[in-house]
Amino acid sequence: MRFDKVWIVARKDMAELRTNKYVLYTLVFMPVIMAVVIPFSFLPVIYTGAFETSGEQVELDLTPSVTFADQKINRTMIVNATIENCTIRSSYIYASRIFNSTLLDTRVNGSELVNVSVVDVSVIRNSNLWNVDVSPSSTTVNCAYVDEDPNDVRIFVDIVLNSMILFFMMIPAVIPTVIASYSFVGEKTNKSLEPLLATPTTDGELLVGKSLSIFIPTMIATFISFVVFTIIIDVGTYPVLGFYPVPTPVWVYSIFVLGPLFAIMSIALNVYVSAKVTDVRASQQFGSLVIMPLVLLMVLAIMGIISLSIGYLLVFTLFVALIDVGIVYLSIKTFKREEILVRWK
Amino acid sequence: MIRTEELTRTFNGTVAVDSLSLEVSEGEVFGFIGPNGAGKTTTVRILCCLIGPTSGRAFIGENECGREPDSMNIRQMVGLLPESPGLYERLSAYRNLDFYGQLYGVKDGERAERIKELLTTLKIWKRKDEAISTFSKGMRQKIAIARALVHKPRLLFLDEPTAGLDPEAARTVRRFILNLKKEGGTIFLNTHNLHEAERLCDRIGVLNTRLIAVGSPEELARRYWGRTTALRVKMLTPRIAEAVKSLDFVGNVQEQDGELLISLDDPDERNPAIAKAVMENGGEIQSISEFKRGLEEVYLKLIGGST
Repeated sequence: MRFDKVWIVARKDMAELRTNKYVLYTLVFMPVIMAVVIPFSFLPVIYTGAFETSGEQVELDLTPSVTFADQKINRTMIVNATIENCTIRSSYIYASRIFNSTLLDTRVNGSELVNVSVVDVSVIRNSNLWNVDVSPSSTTVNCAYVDEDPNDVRIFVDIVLNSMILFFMMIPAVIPTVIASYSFVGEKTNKSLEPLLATPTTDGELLVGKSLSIFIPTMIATFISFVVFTIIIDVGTYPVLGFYPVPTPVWVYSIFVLGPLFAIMSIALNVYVSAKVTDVRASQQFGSLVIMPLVLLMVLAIMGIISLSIGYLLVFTLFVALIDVGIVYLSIKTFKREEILVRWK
Repeated sequence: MIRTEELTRTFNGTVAVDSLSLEVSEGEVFGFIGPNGAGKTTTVRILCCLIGPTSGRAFIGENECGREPDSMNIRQMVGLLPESPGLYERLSAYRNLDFYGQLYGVKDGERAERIKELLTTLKIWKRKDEAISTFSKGMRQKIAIARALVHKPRLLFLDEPTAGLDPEAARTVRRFILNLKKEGGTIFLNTHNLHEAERLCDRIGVLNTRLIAVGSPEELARRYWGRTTALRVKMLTPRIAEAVKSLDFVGNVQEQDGELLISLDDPDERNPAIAKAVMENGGEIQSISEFKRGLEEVYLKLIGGST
């Protein structure tokens, strides 16, 4: 196989796809939904589910306008502030957020405390306490305790995040059905396949070139989406979790191994479907069958039959790889000059 | 340049091309005419190594169609204009040609020069950066022809090059083909347009699954109609017509627009005797010449229609 020919075909197809607004919408909207909308909808689940709450959480109206970081604060009154990594002594704090700090002989009211140690005769009122350690000499009045169980939190967060993988795998599975329908059926309906087949290229070079032009943008969209997703999840959860929950090995494995396998399955299925249908929409409808293995995995995970651990994913990968081999074989058999000109509808 | 030996192709038991044996020389413009479904496009596809024959063999130069690596060599040697232009609508005219130039392995600088030369000749250079979707049907056909020529093929296959074009666009395309002919290119032309075939082709093959006849337009007319003398007489009377018909060497005699069309084996030898018979019967000859039958009449006679 001559890769210069493959790359010429791939570049031409990508240039054509760049001018197709339907392809561009798909390449932008789907990753944005997965990278932005899904994390934001899952963040509250992580916030609440990772912690055990005792007492009614207090409605707080916090609008911090000033930040104190890495300081020793003494005999001070602070209102509407964000306080991080500070040691606060003999002070009064109202309507503020306090992170990773120590309070000594301090009064707090209407605030949120996260990872804070309360010692010496301090008093906390009307506040929400996330993972706060209160010494016996101190008191709390009308406060809600939200405590993490150090052993369970990681497991809970992993379960929640792993369930998002299945949504995420929709990107490499679904985007190729849209692009491939234009690339293969589009070229067929445009009758541009015949002059292309008359060039001194092999069937394999044309097939791989056209497939690459679908695979490359799909995987770029998947990777960018994953990076944005990781940033949003990590930035959004670090203050309450104290660690960065993604990327995990399961995520990395899914993005770099399962993702490409789904993309290949989707592309190959579309090549096969192209021979049977005569318009782009029909091709997209048939092509969407590719999400069936994904739905199967979702059902098994929801029913609790499997968990999304590396072990199960390896088995699932084998299953997807076997389907890939079958469909790729069919697509190679389908994408031959003689077949295209004689048997394609 | 092209040689086929008993070339046959069937599709699900239906014969598309039946035992086609043919030779086309280098520098020749060869036309294939025949009704729809006669096997013209199938023949071109076999010769361009797009599909294989069911039986028989076909050669382009020394390369055999359907055999590797010969097929790859053939695709490099030939240019194809299929029935539909099949251009990339979203890409510019230049990008379309550039893509094919790259696939045919034309070097960068040479490719740019060649594209400029072709688009300038076809008067499209100013619109080279516009998307094909903005072009008229005639312009698309010109781009498709340029695409077939971008790698300077030794053999050009044109499948219905003027089908569906308006008269002006069709004339431009025909002129372009005539120029290619003058430059000595070998062209294989499939067409329904008999006047076009007559004007452009050195030899014509009449195909209706089987090859019915091959020859130059004049040869075909002579072979299937014999030679015809057109005789114009000042006052054509039944007596004169009868006198001509009664000559034993005369075949068919037709009266058309005041002329007598007389089928003969050898007009050069027999015309004086005809003139003598006319004058003896009181006729005054205005003109006597050879009547040339058009390809259309030959075609209809061969394909089974009536003239």
